[in-house]
Amino acid sequence: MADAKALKNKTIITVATTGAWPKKKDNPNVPMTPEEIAEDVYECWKAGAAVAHIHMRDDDGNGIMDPVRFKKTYELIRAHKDCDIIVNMTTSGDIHADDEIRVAHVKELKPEMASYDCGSMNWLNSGLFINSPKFLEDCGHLFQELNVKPEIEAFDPGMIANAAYYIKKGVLKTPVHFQFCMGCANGITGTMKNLVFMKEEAEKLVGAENFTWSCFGVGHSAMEMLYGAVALGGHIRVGMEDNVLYSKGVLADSNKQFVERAVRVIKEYGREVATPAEAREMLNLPPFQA
Amino acid sequence: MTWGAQYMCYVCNKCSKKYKYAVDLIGEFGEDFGKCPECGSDGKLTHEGPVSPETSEYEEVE
Repeated sequence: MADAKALKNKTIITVATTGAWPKKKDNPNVPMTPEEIAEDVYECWKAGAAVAHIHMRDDDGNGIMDPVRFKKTYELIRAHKDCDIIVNMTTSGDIHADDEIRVAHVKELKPEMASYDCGSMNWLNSGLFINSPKFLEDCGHLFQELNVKPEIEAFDPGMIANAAYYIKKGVLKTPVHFQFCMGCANGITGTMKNLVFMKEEAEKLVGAENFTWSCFGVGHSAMEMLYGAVALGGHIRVGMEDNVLYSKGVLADSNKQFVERAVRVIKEYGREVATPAEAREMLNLPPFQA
Repeated sequence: MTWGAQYMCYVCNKCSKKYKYAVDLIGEFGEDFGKCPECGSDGKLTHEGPVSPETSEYEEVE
């Protein structure tokens, strides 16, 4: 077990390989099938990712909350016996899925982590992304029962306040882990000022000792949020769920490419990339059992 | 669950140039958001969406 001081200099890289939306027509390198996603995750782990946030797609490339595909992907990832990456499964991979199907795979597979979107919002100016109070309460209790660590996705400061409410209510248990989602349409914009505000808001509402945090920026804010997370001592998420472009006008070759860039930035800054084992300690997860 | 930057795509009312602005930069552009980068005229909003083949023919204003 590493000492706490050594872990303070570690940055966790999460790779969000696929998401629910970008298709091959948007970037032919987005992994879609269980086989593609599992191999992509393995490559990203070798490059330095400690956590893989995964979504599933149907045969037409649409987001789907299919327990069978989640299971197949999970098994393919774990078939790599040397790979101890933390698997974080979405509960929000299809805005039309009902509450039961959104957690069916979590109940069956009991992943180490799963996403917990801490409020509702208009989605892409065209639909509704509903996370009702009942869903969030049931989901929080379920995660505690199954020992699944919620990755609390906060698209705006109100979702941090909502998390604080659920902590007080016992629905969420500290230490919690936030994912600050920066620059998404209808969410908080991805600026350094806003990232600092999100962090400080979490410190005020939840208590600095009661949470860890990561962030990502979509589009223009991707690099600013990467550097910001490293400079502020947070953790970082990268990948084609959030950005199909590697740089202006240039499609990403792979998710590994994003992970490799994050590794370079972290090392250049003077920090170190957390291994999955170190990430488990920092996120208060039990040691990996193959 | 996310999907990259969202764009508002325009065709200029005056010079017919096709261009787009990312919605996360509304605060940065302010009153100029939506204006043609060539002639400064207003444009007609024709499409909204993420990075995709449908929006690639529109020049990004930065």
